[in-house]
Amino acid sequence: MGLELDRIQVEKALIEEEPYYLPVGNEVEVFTAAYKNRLPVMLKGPTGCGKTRFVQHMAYRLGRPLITVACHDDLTASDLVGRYLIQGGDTVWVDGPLTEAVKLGAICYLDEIVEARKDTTVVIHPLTDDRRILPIEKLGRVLKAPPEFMLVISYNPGYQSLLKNLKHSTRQRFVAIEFTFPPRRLEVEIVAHESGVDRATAEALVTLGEQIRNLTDRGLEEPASTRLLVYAAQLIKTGVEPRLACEVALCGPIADEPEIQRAIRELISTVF
Amino acid sequence: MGLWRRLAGRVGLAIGSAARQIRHPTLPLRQVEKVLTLFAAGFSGLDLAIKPFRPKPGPSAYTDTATIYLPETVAEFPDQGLNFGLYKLMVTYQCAQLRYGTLEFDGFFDEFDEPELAVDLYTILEHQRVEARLLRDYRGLRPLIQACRADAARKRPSLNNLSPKQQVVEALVRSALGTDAGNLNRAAVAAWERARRALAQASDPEALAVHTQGLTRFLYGEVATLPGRYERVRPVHYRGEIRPDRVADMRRSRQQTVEPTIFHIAPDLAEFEVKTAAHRTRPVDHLVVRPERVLVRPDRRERGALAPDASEHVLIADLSIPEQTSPVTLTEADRQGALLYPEWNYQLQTYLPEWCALRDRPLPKGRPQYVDEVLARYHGQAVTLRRQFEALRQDPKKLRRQPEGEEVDVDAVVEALADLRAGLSPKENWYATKRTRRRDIAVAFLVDLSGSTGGWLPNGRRIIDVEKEALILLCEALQVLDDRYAIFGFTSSTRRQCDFFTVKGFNETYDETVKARLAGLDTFSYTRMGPAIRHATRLLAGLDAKVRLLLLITDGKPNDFDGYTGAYAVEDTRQALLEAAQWQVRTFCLTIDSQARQYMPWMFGEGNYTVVDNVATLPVRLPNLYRTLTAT
Repeated sequence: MGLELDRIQVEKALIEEEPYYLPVGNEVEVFTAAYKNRLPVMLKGPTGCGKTRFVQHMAYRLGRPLITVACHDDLTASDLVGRYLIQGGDTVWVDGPLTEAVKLGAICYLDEIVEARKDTTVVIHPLTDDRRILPIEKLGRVLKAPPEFMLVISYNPGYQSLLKNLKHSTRQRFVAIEFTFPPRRLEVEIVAHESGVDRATAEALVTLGEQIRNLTDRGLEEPASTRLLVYAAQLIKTGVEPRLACEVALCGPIADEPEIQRAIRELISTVF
Repeated sequence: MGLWRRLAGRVGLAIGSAARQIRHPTLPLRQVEKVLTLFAAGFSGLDLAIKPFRPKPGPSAYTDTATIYLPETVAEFPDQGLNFGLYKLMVTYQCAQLRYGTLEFDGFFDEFDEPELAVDLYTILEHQRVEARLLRDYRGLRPLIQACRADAARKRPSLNNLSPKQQVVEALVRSALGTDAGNLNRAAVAAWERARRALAQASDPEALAVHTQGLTRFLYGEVATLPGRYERVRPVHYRGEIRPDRVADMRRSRQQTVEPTIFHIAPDLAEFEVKTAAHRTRPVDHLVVRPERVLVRPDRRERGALAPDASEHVLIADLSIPEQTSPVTLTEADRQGALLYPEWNYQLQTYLPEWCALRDRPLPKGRPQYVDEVLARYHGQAVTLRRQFEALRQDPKKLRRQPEGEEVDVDAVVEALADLRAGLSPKENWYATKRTRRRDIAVAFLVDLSGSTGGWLPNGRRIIDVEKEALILLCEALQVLDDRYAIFGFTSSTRRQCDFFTVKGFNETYDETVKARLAGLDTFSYTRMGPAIRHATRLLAGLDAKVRLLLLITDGKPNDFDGYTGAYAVEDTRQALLEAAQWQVRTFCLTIDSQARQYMPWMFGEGNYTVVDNVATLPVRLPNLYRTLTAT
């Protein structure tokens, strides 16, 4: 593997076991319809609300391999498309994850697309309109995406730098599915399922999660995610004292200001 | 706080109760007010303020549904942790009353001859229900409730000198606190028996407030017939009181003051649409539009917006369109030396051309030492901020794949070599450079100088003073970056006189002149945001920069006294912000109005504003906000 390729996280797999996902609304139907119509999809929503799990679940349902790229600000177009590498005395072309996905007819999931360099996002443009092509400049080739290929990006519109926003020319190429945290009943079920805690504990955790989310905009920039609730539940399940589990999973990761932290601890000691 | 109470608090003197002659440490509310406010917001999901009051005869708490009133100090326990716990429990019970429907008793107490007796009975029974529910749902509260209940029970008066009526009620309180009821008069015994059964019935976590009202009616019938006048019993400290008068006042004032600002309604449509983002505080189940009632489409409800047990939240929206603003054009005198800006009339859905006269005004110069004094006071913070801003400048990531630079980019070279071998002509971007990426940001800080910023803060300073300090720290921190920035102030008194002040222009340096203007900033009259935003937008739009940012700093809603209020003002401001977006100017608002969550999402858009609850932190929050917004 080249130096660059080590840095990006490439997961390629036909998913064999059904990833657990509890639909909140009609997202499964919408995604399926988009797939059938060969439309690219943008998943919008706060961190930890189930976007990645949803894509895994859909890849399984649709029977397509899934290639995930975690975008970062050093991700270049070559990292996505591919490059020549020297192996022994020869030069070898190595496909990037995007090219590989096009060839495989896979679902290519670009996670946190805003983190990628602006010039990088442009390479996906020809894939996202009705041309559905991927020009590979260095090979002098143009790949035509098979009908099964699908591009999915995720995007967190929350509080962040004004300099890191998705360009409109990019956004307007996608069908957007909005994610929020699941409603109480479903979130309880998710937390219980993912961690194996009893229902009462899951209920209490979700109550706590809702209360902490009430503090968003009051010094909390990002709400406590479903993922963090699951983490807390898993810690409790393995025997960590509930208040401690909540502090390390639900207070530390989201709050720095001492007053907010204290308020969250008071909420924890109310519920547990 | 009165001298007497302060003394009493400090030395723990008895105020009417033998049990409190022990000296306990005093916990002042102001020390924990901020945490309790956050706790209340988290626990209830409502926007509740916390204010001190002086309960008589002993510590207590109540709410008018907008504010929770707590004692100025608490000194009930030898342990400060428990004193805080008492405050926390007071807040919890008041929030629980709001969530469990306790205060939805519209007119219920009017039906009794002795409403005080009815209120006391209802309070005891209803708190019993609230407590049962809290104990069931929040196991973390159990030890705290037990400790406070035991303490409250110890401090109850004896039944000896009470009238039969009072005896029954006091016995009910004692029994609710899990202590022995005491010896009642023979006359009161029969009523007490029934009261005890009612109490047991009330302690059902599944019950509703209407059940308690039924029990109250029944019990009142039993107790009111006993001889003598009723005098109120002392409230239980951690459970607090119910004040129907204050609840009713607040309900009335809400109905009068709810402005239709958050609504955008086309009255001719069969279906009304409420276009609003944040109803976290006051959920809308029904929107009453005189003269008829219209059901708001339920899909417009915000998630998490509905208060549990909410029966019906009625908002009155006054849809009467204000008198047509007179189409009088500005006079020659009004136009003299002014820039004319249009204004958006949302009722007519049209621009009123040349509507506002805006003038650039000189600022008075302040004391030159002022800036140095502020910097001396905030020395530590200023140093930290400067260091943090330096980190922005010294972007640690090197620029890779450059045509020239001081380092070889190994990745690029390897790639180029591979390309060469493969017979391609490689790109000549083999270098990495540490030259900092140009941020290329132009930002205008637009400061609201309306009269309300002259409001006093608890620490004896005015809002404007804190704003000035924030601007000074910001300027100091910005010294290390080469972002172009300007600071403007604005105020207005009618559309004929919109004033715009330049504290620092884009091309000015942060020098003695600018410092003197900063020092001289003062408050003026009203807040017509539209023209000020439009003007600042024009100034920004003329600059060549990759990112243009307009950051508004304000303490409230747009407002001017010639009808520029409510929905009209919000809609014009919103329109001005939409125009800014068309000029490629990003907008963000920093507000210190705690009510801002009700209208900001509509005006600025979700995620484009931040509320600073604690004004005192503004000097550090403003530079930090800027840092976050422009982080690369």
